[in-house]
Amino acid sequence: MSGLTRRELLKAAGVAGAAAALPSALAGPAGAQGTQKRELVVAQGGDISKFDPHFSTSANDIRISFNLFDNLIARHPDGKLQPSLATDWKLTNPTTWTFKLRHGVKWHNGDPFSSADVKYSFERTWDPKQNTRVSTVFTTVDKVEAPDASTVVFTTKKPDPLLAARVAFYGGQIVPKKYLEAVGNDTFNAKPVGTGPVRFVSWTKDDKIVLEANPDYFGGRPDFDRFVMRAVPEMAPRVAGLLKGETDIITQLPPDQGERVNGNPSTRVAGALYAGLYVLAVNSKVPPLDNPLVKQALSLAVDRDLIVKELWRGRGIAPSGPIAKGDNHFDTSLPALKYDPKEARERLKKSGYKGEDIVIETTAAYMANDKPMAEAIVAMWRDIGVNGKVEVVEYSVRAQKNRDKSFKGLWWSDPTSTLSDPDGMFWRLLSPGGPQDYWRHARFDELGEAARFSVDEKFRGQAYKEMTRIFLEHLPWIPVIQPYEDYGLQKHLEWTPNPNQQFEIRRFAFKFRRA
Amino acid sequence: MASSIPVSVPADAAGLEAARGGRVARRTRQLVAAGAAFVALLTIMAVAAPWLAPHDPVRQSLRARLTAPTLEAADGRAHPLGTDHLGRDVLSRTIWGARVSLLVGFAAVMVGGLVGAGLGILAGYRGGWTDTIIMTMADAQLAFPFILLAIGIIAVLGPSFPTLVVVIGLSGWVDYARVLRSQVLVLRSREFVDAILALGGAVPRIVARHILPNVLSTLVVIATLQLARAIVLEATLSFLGLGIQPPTPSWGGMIQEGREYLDSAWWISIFPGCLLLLTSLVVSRSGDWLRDLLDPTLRSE
Repeated sequence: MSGLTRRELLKAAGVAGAAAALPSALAGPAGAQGTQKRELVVAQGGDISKFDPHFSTSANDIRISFNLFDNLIARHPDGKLQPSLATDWKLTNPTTWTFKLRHGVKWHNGDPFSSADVKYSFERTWDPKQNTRVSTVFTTVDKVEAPDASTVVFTTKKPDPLLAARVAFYGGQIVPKKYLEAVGNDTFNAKPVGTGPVRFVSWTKDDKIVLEANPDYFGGRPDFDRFVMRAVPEMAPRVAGLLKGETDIITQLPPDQGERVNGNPSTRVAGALYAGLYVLAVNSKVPPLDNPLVKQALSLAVDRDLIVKELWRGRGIAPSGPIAKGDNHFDTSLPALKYDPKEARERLKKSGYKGEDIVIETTAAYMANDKPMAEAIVAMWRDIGVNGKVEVVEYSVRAQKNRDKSFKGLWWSDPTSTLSDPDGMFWRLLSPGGPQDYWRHARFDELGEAARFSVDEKFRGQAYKEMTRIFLEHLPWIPVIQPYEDYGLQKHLEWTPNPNQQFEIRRFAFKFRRA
Repeated sequence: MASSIPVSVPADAAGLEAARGGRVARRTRQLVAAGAAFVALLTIMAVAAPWLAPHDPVRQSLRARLTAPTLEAADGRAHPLGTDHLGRDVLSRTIWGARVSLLVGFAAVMVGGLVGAGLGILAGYRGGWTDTIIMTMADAQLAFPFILLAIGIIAVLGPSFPTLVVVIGLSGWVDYARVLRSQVLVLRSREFVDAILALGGAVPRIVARHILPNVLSTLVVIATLQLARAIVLEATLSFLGLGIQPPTPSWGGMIQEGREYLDSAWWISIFPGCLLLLTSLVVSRSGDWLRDLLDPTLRSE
């Protein structure tokens, strides 16, 4: 003890302390400063409800399930379809698709992956005994066969031009036949086993999900050891956590917060143009909204540029019709929807509108900016002499009204383009018997049905052009904005968000920047 | 709130205590007057909102949204308390918001007071089964978290001004009923009531002419305390989106709308929040002072 100075003693203690702290530093936010960062921490707006990919399609849930599981085909952030569990697929005749499967893929529990899993997975989605949430995704499919261990053949009822796109999105995740049959749905959901880049470790309800890297992943081991998904429903703490460096990525960043995130030296904003639109859906059965002239006036009165520029801080674009930018058959020659209050007033006069109440039933913070946009739009309507009103409804009330089709006038809808094609977007929602069937038009219906079952893309393009014209006259939706979906992230990582709410952490989309 | 009953006390208070009581009473009277003046000022502000507010409270100016307090904003106007997320003037909205708060507050107190006092007097005077039933109802309501009940009722009926007033009003009837019942219970066994009965006085007349005047001061005190409660409750429900519907400004609604901007545009929530705090504080303290003033223990002259 005699030769040891106080300073040396402190130094020794410090080293010992650092050594003890090391494992926790690796696991915790303190590791963020170094280049050895091995843990990815993400905060999203709510907890998940299910791991089982066939039992939930909610945005929070698919951020996890698309990474635990793989589809036969993957849609990459650039919108292109790429090989995943299938290495190759082709249309062998108008109603038959043949998929070649990847060799040597293993489930997280070590079982080998084969065509039997694929056949089982698709049949599970529409099995009435299972009652899955994705039972209507593959209604065009007649049967799935597995002639050998690495081949799968789909037979469709009619020609289905979008089968590959359907296979690449929700419903198309492949689940393990042997494990699922052995343990049942409940255990599978509690201890999910997939083929994906991450493996399940633990789930603490309303707090966090812990996943670990799958070292044997066929697409390459992801660039981290652990992936922690936290549930942080309130926006303010979510942003604060990012700015303090506690989280690497946060979801659902409101446009008004972009400046703070970009202004902070270690963080930045990354966004993807939403694969879909924010629209005011219209109950076209209620007068005066059954009159196309009234709806045209309502649409002409909305100053979309002002909304984009001020309420969204430029994070969005004004739509031109019912097809989202980035989708098949999006018509680049079509101008953005016009703002013309003078013309709006004239059409309103011509329509014979007598000052009836026109109500927007808006949710508050279900979609980004929903209530502020509703209030701004009603003020614009009042300027042309429309008696507009805003009523705030709870999300559960909205869901109920959606089921009963009992909306008083207009309401917010955020149709997602599930297939990067109008069929999975406006036709999915506005078709006869669809979730937003409030308006019918014989020619529109005929074209929509024909385009759904045609493999002739030229014909489909023409059909959607004509449907767009009919849509713009009758306006079953009043499209308002195609926003960016923004994320906040640390500058020490490279990551490209997907436009369709998939949260891609595979090697090709995510890596840490190491010095 | 049962603690706000004026307690009757033997009248043989010592002279020294009476002198001290006199000073306390004088101060209390000044405080009550100050509180009343504040409420009067607020009422004037609410009534005169169209003339006092510099701008239309619902007029939006998206180009000047989230402007900090300034005398020269992007839209060329003065916004001394800034603008909100839709570019509406916070000062004008705060002034107009006083209307909603006071209107709902007073109306709810009327509803609650009428129902509560009526049932309380009935329970106290009739006793027996009537008393048991009314007091069981009161206990049942007290046992139930009221905000939950209000959310349920408003979610079913839909938010509207009358619904709001009735729901907030009825939330307070128990306080009136319990306190008045106990007072009436004491009063009806007093000799003067027996004397009037013996002289052939009708029960309604006894209640109206002899019992009511005796409990009036208590009623006023509870009503004042309830006013503060009603204003806060209205703000709470508006905060939850169940109160006054947009674009009509209300303090609770404004606080809610500004919540997302607390760190970047604090002025949206802070000003209505401060006024709400001040109002509920002054009104409820005035209720306490009024009780002190009307309390016979402190009555000296």
